[in-house]
Amino acid sequence: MAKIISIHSFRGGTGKSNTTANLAAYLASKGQRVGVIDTDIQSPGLHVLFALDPSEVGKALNDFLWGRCPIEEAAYDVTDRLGGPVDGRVFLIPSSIRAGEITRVLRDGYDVSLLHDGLQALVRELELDTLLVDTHPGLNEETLLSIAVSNALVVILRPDQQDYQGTGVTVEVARSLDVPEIMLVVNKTPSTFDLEDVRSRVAQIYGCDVAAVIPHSDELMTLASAGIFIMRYPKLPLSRIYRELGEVVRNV
Amino acid sequence: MTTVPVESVWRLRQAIGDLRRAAERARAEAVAADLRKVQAAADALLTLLEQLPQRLAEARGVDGRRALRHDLRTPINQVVGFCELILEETEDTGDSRWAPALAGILVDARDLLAQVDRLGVKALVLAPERAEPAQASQSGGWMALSRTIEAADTRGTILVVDDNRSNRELLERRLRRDGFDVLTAEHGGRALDVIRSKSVDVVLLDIMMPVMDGYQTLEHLKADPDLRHLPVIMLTSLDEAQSVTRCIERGAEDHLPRPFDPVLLRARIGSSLERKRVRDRERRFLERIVAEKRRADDLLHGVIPIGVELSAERDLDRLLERLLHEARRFCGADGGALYLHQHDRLERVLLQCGSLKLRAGGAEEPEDRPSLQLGARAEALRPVAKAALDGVTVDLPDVHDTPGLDMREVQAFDRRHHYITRSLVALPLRAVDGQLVGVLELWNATRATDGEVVPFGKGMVEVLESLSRLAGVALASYHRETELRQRIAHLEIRIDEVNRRREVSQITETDYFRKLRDMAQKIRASTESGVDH
Repeated sequence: MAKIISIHSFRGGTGKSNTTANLAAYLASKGQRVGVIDTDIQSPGLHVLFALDPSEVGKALNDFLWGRCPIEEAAYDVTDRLGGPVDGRVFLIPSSIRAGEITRVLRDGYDVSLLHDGLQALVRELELDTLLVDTHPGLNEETLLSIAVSNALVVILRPDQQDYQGTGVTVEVARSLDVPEIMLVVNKTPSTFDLEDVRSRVAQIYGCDVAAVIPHSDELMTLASAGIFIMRYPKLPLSRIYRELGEVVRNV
Repeated sequence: MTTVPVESVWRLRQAIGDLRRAAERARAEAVAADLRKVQAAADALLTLLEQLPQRLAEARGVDGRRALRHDLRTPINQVVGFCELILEETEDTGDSRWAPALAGILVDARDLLAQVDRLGVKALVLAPERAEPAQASQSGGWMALSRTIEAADTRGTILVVDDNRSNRELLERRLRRDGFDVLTAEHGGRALDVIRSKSVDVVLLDIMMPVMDGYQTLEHLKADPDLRHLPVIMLTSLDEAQSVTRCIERGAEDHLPRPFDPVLLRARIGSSLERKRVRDRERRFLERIVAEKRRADDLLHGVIPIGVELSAERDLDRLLERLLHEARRFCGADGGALYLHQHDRLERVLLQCGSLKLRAGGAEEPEDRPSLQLGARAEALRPVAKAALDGVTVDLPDVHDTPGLDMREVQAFDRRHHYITRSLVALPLRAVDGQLVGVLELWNATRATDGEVVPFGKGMVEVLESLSRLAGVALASYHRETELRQRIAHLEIRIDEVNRRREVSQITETDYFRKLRDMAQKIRASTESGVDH
């Protein structure tokens, strides 16, 4: 049974796209067929990480959902662009859905289960093991929708006050949607913090598992923006943390 | 009363004189010189014999007669002793010219001694038993016999205590021939001085002496715990059987009757030395066991509980104070300093010196054993830096003999405070992973019994190293905990509950959300029932 996993953060700039790309590469390295949907229209980054030029993108997620094209036309096989060989495959489904388009339709009486059906069709047609949904920051309706249909929600936060508050809201909302698994990833943790201490404190505050605590390093951020980190620098400690996170997600 | 054999003494005196002259003619100077002593002894005997009737009349009681008898025997013993010595020495050098005449003199002298003893039985002494037959040395064969006793195992220092100079010289020469080191004393008082100031293995002790006699000397020796085990061999006369008993009862190891049989002399000294060696070995062994036990006790009852307490101490200042205090207490160190390792520097955080009444924290008196830069070449040879850089204990039993080390800071400290640092030890404090945490420096260990400044010693250094290991771990965990507490303070996650509930309800209390929730529930229900969409 394929799993839908939403990756979310309250604000932008938490390293959500980077984490999603590394997760996709990890799962593919374990032989999985992985789909990645980019719904973060305001700050799209996934196609950069997968080295997919916008000019190469024709049909997108919304075209498929509205029945304008078959799934193959909206999915782009980026397996060869990961930065190294993997046993599985990675398909990127870029989104051109304009903000509010889906929600307006839904509000107008559109059956919300259509998106779920669409996602299921995607899973079926591409024979996916995992579908990663890179959600839009904040809690707009399409984000709520992908959270609602997910098997697991990964909430990424930075250790600062604004994220603490927003994450609290996200976790509470996800709970009332009965998402089976909610896990937190603390990213860009300043080096002065003790990682294990951060992990236990955050887990205690939100009452859910902390899947990873990733330390911040300007040097690493520079390296990370140039591609998929675990493929390019598999021996650095950060890759070990991503792999551990990947294992948690794989076992959802 | 039997007549005294003055004639035989005269004959003996003449034989000695003849031999002396022959030796002088032959320019055998050493033999001649010894024979002059033999002759002097014979003259002394003649003088005594002439005075004998009067002396006998004056002799009061058993003791008086015993004294007289002692006086008579002394010169004859000297004649026998010197002649035997000359005989041995000349035979060693292959000079056999004097042997027949010396043998004749020896036979006569021993005969004379026997006569005096017989005379004594009737006239002087109640019932003397011949404790040891002197005859073993009569034939020329005794020398061969003497050589069968190995001299190799008999090295040692012998103290000869006798008021008679000739007696002392006779014994001294004989013992030196046998390979011993010899010290002499003319009475008991002097003997005690020698024993307390020099290393002595066996004491040969005459009984009758002025100032302090053999009994008193023996009592003094046995009453002193430090000297009690020193073997004492009493030098006795044949008629002193009772005295021998008295001495053995008072702790004498053995006795030797005069004239000395060289074989017996060597044998008794040898066995005394052997017993002393065994006793010394036992004592050293015992001392080692006692020291080991003390070390184990120190560890078990001292170091480990302190280590536990140090680990539980939550206040850094108290932790440091306690550590330095306990380390000093263990070895009686007059002074000590603690350095903490911070950013390649050793910061001196504490200094104490008991006799100077100094108690300073890090900032006070910075010129006293100041903090130092570990990377700086100029400071790398300070004992504290060396302990930190090499990660091993620097143990200086004598700070004035420390080639290759930079002792200027220690000297400056001494000058500033009119102090004398003698012994010093610097121990690295390390965390479990080996990371340097600091250095513990202690100086001037003192002996518990008298407060004397002493080196720290191997056993003490081992105890201090154990304490340092525990202290290093305690300090490292303290640091870690402090850092953690600071980090936790930074990571204070505050969530405004009122706002959060409001924000959540703004989302969840909408038709859209309710619809979404219903749909999600339906999807999950179908997934759970195995229906794939």
